Amino acid sequence: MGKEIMIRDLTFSYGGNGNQLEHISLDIAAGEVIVMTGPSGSGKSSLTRVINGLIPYFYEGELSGEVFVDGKPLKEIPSWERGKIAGNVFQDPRSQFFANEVAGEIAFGCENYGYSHEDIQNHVHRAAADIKIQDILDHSLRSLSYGMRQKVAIASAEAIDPEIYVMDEPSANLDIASTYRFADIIRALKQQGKTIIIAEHRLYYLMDLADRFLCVQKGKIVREFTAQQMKALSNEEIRVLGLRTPDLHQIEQAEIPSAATSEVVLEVKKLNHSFGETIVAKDVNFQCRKGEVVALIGPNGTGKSTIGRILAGLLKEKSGEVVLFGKHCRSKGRLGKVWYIPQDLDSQLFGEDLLDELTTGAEVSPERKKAAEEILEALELMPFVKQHPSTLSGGQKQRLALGVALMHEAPIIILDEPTSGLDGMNMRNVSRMIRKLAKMGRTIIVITHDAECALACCERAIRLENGCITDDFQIRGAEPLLDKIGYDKKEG
Amino acid sequence: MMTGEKKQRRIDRIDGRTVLLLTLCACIVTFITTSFWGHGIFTFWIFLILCWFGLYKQALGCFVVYLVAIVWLMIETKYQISIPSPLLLSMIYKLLLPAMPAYLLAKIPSGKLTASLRKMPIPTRIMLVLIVMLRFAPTVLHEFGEVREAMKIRGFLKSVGNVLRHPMDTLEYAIVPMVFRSLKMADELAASAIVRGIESPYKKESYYVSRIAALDYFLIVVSVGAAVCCCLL
Repeated sequence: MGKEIMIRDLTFSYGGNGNQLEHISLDIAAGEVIVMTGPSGSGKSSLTRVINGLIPYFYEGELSGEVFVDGKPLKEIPSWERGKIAGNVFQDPRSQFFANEVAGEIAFGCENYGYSHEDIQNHVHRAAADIKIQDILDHSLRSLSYGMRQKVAIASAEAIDPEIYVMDEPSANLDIASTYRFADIIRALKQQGKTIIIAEHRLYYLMDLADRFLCVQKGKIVREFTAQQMKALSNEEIRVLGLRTPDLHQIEQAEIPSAATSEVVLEVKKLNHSFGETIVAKDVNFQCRKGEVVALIGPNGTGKSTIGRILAGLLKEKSGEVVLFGKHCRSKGRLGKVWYIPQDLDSQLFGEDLLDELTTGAEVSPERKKAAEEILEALELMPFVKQHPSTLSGGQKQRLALGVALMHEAPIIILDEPTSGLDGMNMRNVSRMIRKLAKMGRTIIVITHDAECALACCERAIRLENGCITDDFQIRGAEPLLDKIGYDKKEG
Repeated sequence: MMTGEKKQRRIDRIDGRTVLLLTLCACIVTFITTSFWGHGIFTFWIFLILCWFGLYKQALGCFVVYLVAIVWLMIETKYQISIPSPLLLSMIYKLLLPAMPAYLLAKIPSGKLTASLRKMPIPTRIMLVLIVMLRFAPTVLHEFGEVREAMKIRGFLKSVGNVLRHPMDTLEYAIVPMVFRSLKMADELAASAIVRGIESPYKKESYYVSRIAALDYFLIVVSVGAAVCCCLL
């Protein structure tokens, strides 16, 4: 049976930079599933870090108040022992893995806690069987899809058999089918009576799992909902709270007139590509017009990002043709004309502040500086102009990356999962900026699993599966899109 | 698929310490021997080992490059040619030898390698550094690939001339995002290790069995013997 958690008057700040958590008191019953949601930076992650003991042991700061696990103060439990009580699953499995292969990763916790070789093997095989990944124990973690990596992360936590699970945005990188499979795993843990705390933006997959939804804002729990109350919230209330929509059927497609002209700026003809025996693009054909915003959808690992990188000239196609503005264009010629913005933006930031980020790489003339300022203004980034780009929030970084593309006058922009890990408000902001750029005559391809983002800014969707285009349709209302991404296709 | 499984099983049968010793022998031979034959014979031995582990493509690729470099170097010495630079060719053939067993080392599951390291008389602090380095090396390579792509998009790598004209700028563009990303990942990795009890005081055992078996003894004896002979040639 899971353990109960009691939090009393908890206040925390990272070294005097304002309170991340303010006077939080919360009781979580054993076996309860709690979802904490709210805007980025509201304190959800900090609260999970207090529960798993990383605050204040690893993330130092000023902490007051108490956390009790089954009545025992958490601070009386040695830091190394807390991992036995609470298993953790983080947003990006890449940076939580310590081994390069599945079995070693699942075994890591058991090895640390002094289990014998036989016990380690038993725990690893049991956890792998529970999560149904026993066939991939000898696989390299790098070769796995995001969905599979997240399963390994859960198996790794489960191997120690903790009574509490703490998860920080675990679905951020998952497609809809993987998200539902992930929900099934949480359901199984709940049936075993484990206490589960999830900090999450995407709520739809938790609606029939969570016992309570806590809305966290500015370090405080401001509202508490049951699943029924959550579903009953109007779109306006959801917007005001800055949340993601709990039932995607509820989403209203933004009624923004298309900015697309009749001019075809990008034409892909019989494009083929493969990695070894894995085909990632098979006779792909499509066209995009000037000012059009197209969503590229489909399951994880189906070739969407590869096609984006081929179009941008970062990869050379095996065969086929890419035509830009009516002329055949080789991969090198596409660099800079088709601008690819990857999902992970931290490795893309070169400047010391936002102006420098836009102007770096060429001489800064007064004209370029003025152009950069105008772009920052248009993207509503001027208030942060003096900040280092790496200190911006996820949504602000996406807008800055769009700004760099504008600065280089790229006519076609490809965004890879621009809204993964963003809260409702930031997701809507990024979507609004994408529409704004389309109005300015840019053609935009959005690679996404995020139906809310696609409905907020895209007018057409192309669906890929196993490297082939299965559907190419105008988005008219939420239902056809939700059907194509498999929103209602939950597996038993 | 079958080849992959076979390769995995064979790699599973060898102890990490044996491959570490192979790498050490390769380093000693490459730096001590002055004989082309001695160097060549030991390289051929490592080539055979890689093939036995199923890494045919990589073994053949390395060996062909090795032979081309040596033959070319011989031609250059005989006919007094200096293009490409003899120093470069020497570096290629000298460094390829230790790179081959190092590649095999990278193919061993990191958990198994850690288990082997734990059995060696290495201070815990040094061992932790070694483990983190082994864990971080592929991550850094992956991140560097992403930074290189971003530099290509921004036009920082437009041409060789562009890079040569602004070498310091290019270096800065490559290093700054790498440092930021690595710091963030190191932080997240450390947090992940702490919540999974890396600091626990228990004596640690492993998922993998770390035992020097007959195959290891055979490889150790033959490799050490071959290394000594090749150095004396």
